[in-house]
Amino acid sequence: MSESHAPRAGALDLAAAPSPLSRFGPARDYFGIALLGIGLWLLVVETNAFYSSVLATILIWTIATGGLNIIAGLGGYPSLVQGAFYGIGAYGSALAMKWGQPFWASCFEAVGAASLLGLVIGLVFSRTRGQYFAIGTMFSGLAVALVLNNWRMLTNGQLGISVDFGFADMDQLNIVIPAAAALTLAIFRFVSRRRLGWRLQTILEDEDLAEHIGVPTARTKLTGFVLSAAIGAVAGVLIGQYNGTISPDLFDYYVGFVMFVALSVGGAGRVLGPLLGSAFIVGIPDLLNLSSGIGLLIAGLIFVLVIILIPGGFMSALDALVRWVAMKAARR
Amino acid sequence: MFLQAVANGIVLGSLFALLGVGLTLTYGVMEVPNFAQAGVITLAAYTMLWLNQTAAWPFGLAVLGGLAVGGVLSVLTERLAYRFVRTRPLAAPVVALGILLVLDNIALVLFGGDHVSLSPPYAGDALHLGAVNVPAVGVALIATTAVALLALYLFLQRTRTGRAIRAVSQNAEAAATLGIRLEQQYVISFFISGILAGLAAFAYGPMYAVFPYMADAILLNAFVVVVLGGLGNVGGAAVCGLFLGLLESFGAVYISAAYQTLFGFAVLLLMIVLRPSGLFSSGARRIA
Repeated sequence: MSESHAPRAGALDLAAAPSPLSRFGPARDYFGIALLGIGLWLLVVETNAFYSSVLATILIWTIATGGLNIIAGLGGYPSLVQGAFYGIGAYGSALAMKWGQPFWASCFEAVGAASLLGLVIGLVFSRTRGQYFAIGTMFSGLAVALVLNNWRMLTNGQLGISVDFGFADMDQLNIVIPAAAALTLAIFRFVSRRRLGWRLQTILEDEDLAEHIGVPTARTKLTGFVLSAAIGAVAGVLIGQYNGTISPDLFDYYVGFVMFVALSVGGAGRVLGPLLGSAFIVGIPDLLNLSSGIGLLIAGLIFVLVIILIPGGFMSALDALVRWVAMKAARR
Repeated sequence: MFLQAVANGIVLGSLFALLGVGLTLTYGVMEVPNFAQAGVITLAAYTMLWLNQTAAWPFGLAVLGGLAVGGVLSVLTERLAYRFVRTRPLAAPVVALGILLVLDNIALVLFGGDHVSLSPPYAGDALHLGAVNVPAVGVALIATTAVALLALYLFLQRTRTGRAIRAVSQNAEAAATLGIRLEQQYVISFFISGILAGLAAFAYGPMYAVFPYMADAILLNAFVVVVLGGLGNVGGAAVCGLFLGLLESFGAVYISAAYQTLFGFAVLLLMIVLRPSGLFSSGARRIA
């Protein structure tokens, strides 16, 4: 039984049936994302320090999972290595600045390093599908985590390193984070309706058939994967800037896994999926201040329930709600 | 040094084989990556510990209790969660992680986060063969694995149920048309996998320590074993488990212990590049 023939619920709502949320034209979509970005910026600036930092972390995760959304959401490839690109972004920019590079250059170098790693991992593992891809990418994440932990000369091991602040002040960073998150969502919206996005969605539906009708599957997957990696590195640069110090436990191998879970819970392949998923995965434990035992137990139960009961994640639940409201309104 | 590395490798490899076989069995019939196996191991280990130390059962009886708990828990994960995502390969890893979180944290809430040790009566003994030292728990691990794998082999090859499980693993749709009850085979496979997890807890607990996240990292190695052997290939998993154990043991002794897990990864990488369908793929089943 080949996996590509198993019915997939939810993941491709975007192409199969336009959701009620996305029936507006592209201009309105981008306008909506921009408004959302401004709203998020106001929330980051206006709330107290605790909520502001939780929200900033959520937004940084939105960027990382938003990048993941391209290969995993559009292409259906369960990449579990996004946490490593996130780590490369953080360590890459911090180290480049330590070696005397200006901040802007260190950003490019970090993103370049992550893209290069993405290219290598992609070249090896885009030959595999489904669970093989998941396990292969997870191990790539583990390899990066082990290097961050053990290459003490470079990374100072588990103690971590401090990160030079590259912005003028905190206000500037507080603008950049929501802006980058909104830009990530906009890039995803853009890619999903361009050739790369359509091709990835064809691969999600049936990779063999896609190959038959002339989609260059290998190249498409590689492009999508590298793009995901590059965006993941941007998130890493920002978490380094925001925290001021970084240590390997922020980028452990399971982080990539949790990012994939966040995307699935929020709604894979959907523009706002990463935001909802990150808010849920990062925000709930932080805001409720749950002790690790009970909190993670409940989080685990909720993942399982959401995935079983709402196959398309929160976004598809939201669609259903909007449809229901629209139906009620039309009947009146 | 060399012989000691071989001995360590065989002990480690037996553990990997035991874990890998359980994973590959459930993967074969249901195509889910059962990360929750690690949680089942943890709870089985704590059950043994509790029965042995708090309820003062004899060690052997406590182990049997732990095995039963492992089997039942594993079946519960299938009945309550996995069966709903059988046709959704992208959802399966997420559900597996969710269950793992639930099981690990049940252990944390019930038993606390301390490292405790499960000590069988023979804990202090060791087998000396010339310069080579194998602790008794290691010998027990090798013996357990050998018996478990032999029993599983006979079960899969010689019994009606075993044949049914293999049929489902090769092609579930065809098996269903021939009148094999799929649901039944799922439950039986998960039960066996849970028993194997219990055995792993019995063998692994005394060697290292019992704590809520005890099996998470070791399970990654088991996944290398499963992929090397070919997803769903029980014999392949057994052989590759031993191979990986030896490889990591030699790597730790002669190269670097910090990167031990990476040696397995390097082999995995090579294999995916050279033979994407597993070292022992027969071509009977398209898996990648």
